[in-house]
Amino acid sequence: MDSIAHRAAVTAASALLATLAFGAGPAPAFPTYCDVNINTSWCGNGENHAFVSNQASYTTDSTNVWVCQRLLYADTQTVVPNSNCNYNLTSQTYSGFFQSEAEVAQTSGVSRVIRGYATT
Amino acid sequence: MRRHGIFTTRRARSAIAISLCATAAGSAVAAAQLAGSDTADPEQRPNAELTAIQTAQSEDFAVLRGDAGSAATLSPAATALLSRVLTGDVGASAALARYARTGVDGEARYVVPGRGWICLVSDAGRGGCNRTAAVVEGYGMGAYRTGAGTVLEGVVPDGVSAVEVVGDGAASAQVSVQANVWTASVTFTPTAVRWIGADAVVHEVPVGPVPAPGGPPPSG
Repeated sequence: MDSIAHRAAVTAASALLATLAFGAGPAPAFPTYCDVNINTSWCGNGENHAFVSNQASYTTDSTNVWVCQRLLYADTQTVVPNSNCNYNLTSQTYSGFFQSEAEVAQTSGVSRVIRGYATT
Repeated sequence: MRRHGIFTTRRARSAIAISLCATAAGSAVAAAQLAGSDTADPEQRPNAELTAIQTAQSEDFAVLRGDAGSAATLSPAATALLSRVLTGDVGASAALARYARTGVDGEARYVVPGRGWICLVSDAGRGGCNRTAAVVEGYGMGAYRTGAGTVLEGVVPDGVSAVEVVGDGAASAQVSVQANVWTASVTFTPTAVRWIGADAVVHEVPVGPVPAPGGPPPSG
């Protein structure tokens, strides 16, 4: 059955779920982002902002994890200069004069929760 | 899904909801963090700024005792890094920061204590932090790529006079430590950093992959 009423019910249910997940209105994805398990991968959410800082951190436990942060120029694969890595927490300030996407990574070989924190 | 070199890009759009929940939880405990504790939790931002060097920091790092380096006047970029992120993250204190040295890249390096953490900050606005106990073991280390190679930097405890950066094959470079801080610029791919501690034990800390340097902004 694929009646108009059925489709409307599905749409309404989807809207309700979206509201429960993100709250009313557009959901701000920053300053905190990623914060999920990743492994030898870059993690971001693809939003474009004029970032003035970006940070990657691993603080779940006292394990020393090599984490990296970078910006990509908006909607490109070009890495903005000044990406960097450090054990457990690495940060960099940026000019904020351009639109970019913020990403974080870790390369320990084991899936770990890495938190990104980017400010505008 | 996009791929970038050795890393595989995975857009974690579902993390939005998780992030919102984490942010809300963080706000709930912010007051407790602002009250101050010996060890900051970056996930419970904002943390209160450290007001006095901790014993665990001063007993292993001369630069934080005032026995090495000098009082720091932070650059605008370093100040911005602390105020935007590192003070709230780990309680890093600009007032307690110490100038350690100028690195091989010409950037000044400051050692900045936080609540249970030690940060190495450059006047270019780059910083890395780790827990004090980890820094004592040599894990207060970071790296970035340049067009010519890789610049590495780190904080080591008292009694370490030199650090060796090793790479694939027989590649290596030895650099001196000044005020607990070392920096190195290498053209080979670094894989580990070694040093002999005051305990006469050889410490070896692996170096992970470092992202390739950026290109110019796209035109148009």
